[in-house]
Amino acid sequence: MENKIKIEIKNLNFSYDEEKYVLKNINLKIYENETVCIIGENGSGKTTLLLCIAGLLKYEGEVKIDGEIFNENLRKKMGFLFENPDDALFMPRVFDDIAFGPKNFGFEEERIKEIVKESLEKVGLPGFEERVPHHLSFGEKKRIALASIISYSPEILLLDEPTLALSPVSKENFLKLIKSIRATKIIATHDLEVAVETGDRVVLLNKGTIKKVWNKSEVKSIKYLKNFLLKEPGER
Amino acid sequence: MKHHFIDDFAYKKGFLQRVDTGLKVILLILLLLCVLVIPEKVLFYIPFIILTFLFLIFSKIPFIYFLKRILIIFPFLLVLFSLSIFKENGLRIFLFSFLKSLISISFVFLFVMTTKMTALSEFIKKLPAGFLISDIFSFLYRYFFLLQDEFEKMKRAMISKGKNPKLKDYALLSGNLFIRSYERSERVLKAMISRGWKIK
Amino acid sequence: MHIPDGFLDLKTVSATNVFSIGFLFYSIKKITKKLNPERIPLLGLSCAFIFTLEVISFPLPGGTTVHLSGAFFISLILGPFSGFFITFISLFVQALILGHGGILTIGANSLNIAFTGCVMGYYFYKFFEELFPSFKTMWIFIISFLTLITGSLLLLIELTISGKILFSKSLFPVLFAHTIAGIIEGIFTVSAISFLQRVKPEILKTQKI
Ligand SMILES: Nc1ncnc2c1ncn2[C@@H]1O[C@H](COP(=O)(O)OP(=O)(O)O)[C@@H](O)[C@H]1O
Ligand SMILES: [Mg+2]
Repeated sequence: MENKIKIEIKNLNFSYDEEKYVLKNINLKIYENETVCIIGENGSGKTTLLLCIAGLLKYEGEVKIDGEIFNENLRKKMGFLFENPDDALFMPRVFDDIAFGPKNFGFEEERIKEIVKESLEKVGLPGFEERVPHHLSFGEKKRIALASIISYSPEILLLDEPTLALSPVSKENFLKLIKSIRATKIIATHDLEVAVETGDRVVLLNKGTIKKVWNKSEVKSIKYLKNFLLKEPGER
Repeated sequence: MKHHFIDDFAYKKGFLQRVDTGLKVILLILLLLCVLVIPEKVLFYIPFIILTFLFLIFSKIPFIYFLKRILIIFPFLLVLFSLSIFKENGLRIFLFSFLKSLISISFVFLFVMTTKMTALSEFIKKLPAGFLISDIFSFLYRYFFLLQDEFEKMKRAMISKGKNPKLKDYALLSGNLFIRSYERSERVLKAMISRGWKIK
Repeated sequence: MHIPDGFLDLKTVSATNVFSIGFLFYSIKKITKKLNPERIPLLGLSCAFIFTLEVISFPLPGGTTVHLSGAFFISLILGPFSGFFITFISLFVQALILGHGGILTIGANSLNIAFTGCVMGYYFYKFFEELFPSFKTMWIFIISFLTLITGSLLLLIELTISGKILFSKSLFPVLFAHTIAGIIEGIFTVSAISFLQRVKPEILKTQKI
C-alpha cells in the first residue's frame, strides 16, 4: 500500500524576512494515504512547513505532488485546516463556507447543495447550513472548517494543530473523524498524544530542521517522544 | 461573549420575513422618502404609525424589544433639540423632525429585523458594482463581533493589570486591534486561496 | 455626530446623496482598477475594524463618552479611496443595524465623516508632509483635528439649509464640542500611527489607493 510517493520535498528552505531561515534544508517523502505527524516546539516551523507544501508561501527548493512541481491545478488536491477556524470560516453563513471550495473548483451548481449536506453529515453536524459561524462553539467551528475542506474531496489533508484548544471529549471525537477520512495526511501538532495515536510516521522538527523520523513501530509512547523534545532545546 | 444578533427575528415565520428582499428594499426606500416629504401636520403621520404597528404584529416582533432598540436614537435627538430651540418656532420644527425620525428608524429596524443578512448580501451583489460592496459587507458582518470581543478582552487584560485605560491606551489598544485585523486578513487570504479562490 | 433620518429636507438629502454615492462609485472604480484583489480580505477586515472603532465609546472625565472616528487613521494606511469606501460601508451598516445615523442621510453623514476624514484628510496630509517633511506628527494631529471641525461645519450647514437650526446660534456650542472631539481624535491618530510605526512598520507601507 505505502509505496507510491505522494509528496516529495527536496532541499526546502524558507525565510520570512530574507535573513533568518525558518526552514532549513528539509527533505521528506510522504507516501500515498500515509499519515505523517510533525511534532516540535512552538516556533519550530511546523505551520510554515505546511504552508509551503500547500503552495501558500514562496520557498527555495522543490515540493512535488504526484510528481508535479506546484501549480494552481494542484490546489484542488489539497485541503488545509487552519489552526484557528475563525480564519477559515470567512463567510457569513455556514453553507457558503462549505460551498466556497466546490464553487471555485468548478463543481456543478446542482451538486453543491448535496455536497454541503453530505459534508455536514460527515462531520456530525447535519442541518447546520443556515447557521452563522459566530454563533457556533469552538468545537463546532473546527468541524465546519473541516467540512469546508472535505467538501471538495482533496487527496491530501494538511492539518495545523487540529486538536488545539479542544476539550478532551471533543478532541477524541475530532481525532476519530480525521482518522475516518481517507487521504494522505500531514498533521502539525505539539500534542504528542495525537502523534502517537494517528501517525504512521512521526517527524521531529527543531528550529526549522528535521531532527528525527520515526516509523510507527519505533514510536513507543508519549514518554518516549517527550524525552526527545526535552533533549532538543526549543526556542524559548 | 454573547451578542444579540440584529437579524434574529429574520428566522421566525412572519409577514415581512416572507417578502422578497429586493421588494423590501424598494418598499423601505419609498416609505422613507414619503416620510421625508410629508408636510408638518399630525394627521399625515398617523397612517405611518399604524402601518408600523401592523408590521410589528404580523412579523411577530415583540413591541417592548422593538422600543428598546429604537431608544438608541435619543441621545442624538437631545443634541438636536438643544440646538433647534434657539430658532423661532424651533420646538414645533423639532417635534415634527423627531416624529419623522422615529417613524423612519422604525421602518429601518423592521426591515433589518426581518431580513437575513445573507439575503441582503445576495441582493447587494446584484446591484451595479455590488460585487465588491457585498464582499466587504460580508466580511464586516462576519468579523465585527469578533473584533469587538478581541478589543474587550485586551481592555480587560489591561484593567486586570491595574491600569485604567486612558486616551493613549485606547489608541494603543486600537493600534493593536488593527494589527490583529491585518494579520487575520493575511490568514483569511491564505484560507481563501487554498480553497481555490482565483485572483482575477 | 451622525444625522438620523428626518432631520434633513429633500433638497439637502438629494444633493448630499448625489455627491456621496457618486463619489462612492468613483472610489469603487479606482479601487477595482488598481487594487490587487489580494487586498479584498484586508479591506473587509479593515471595514470591520473601523466599525468596531466607531462603536466603542470611551469615557471622558466627567461622565460623558466619546466615539472615535478613525476615518483619517484608516486612510493613512489604506489610501483615500479605499478609506472612503470602507468608511461609507461602515456608516451605512451602523445606520442599518444600530440606528447610528439614517439611511437617506447616508449621503450627508459620509460627506461629513468619510469624505472629510479620508479624502480631504489624506490629500492635505500628503501636501503638507511633502512641504514640511520633518513635522509629520504635528501634521497628523492638526489634520485629524481639522477633519472633525470641517465635518462639524458641514453638519451645521446641512441642518441650517434644511431649516432645522439657526446657524449663528448653533455655531459656538457645536464648534466647542468638536474642538474637544478633534483634540481627542488628533491624540488618538498620532498615538495609534506611531504605535504601528514602532510595532509593525510594514503595515504603513501597504499600497495606498
Ligand atoms: N508571518 C510571519 N512573519 C514573520 N515571521 C513569522 C511569521 N509566521 C511565523 N513566523 C516565525 O517563523 C517561525 C516558525 O513559526 P511557525 O511555523 O508558526 O511555527 P510553529 O507552527 O511550529 O509554532 C517562528 O520563529 C515565527 O516567529
Ligand atoms: Mg503553528
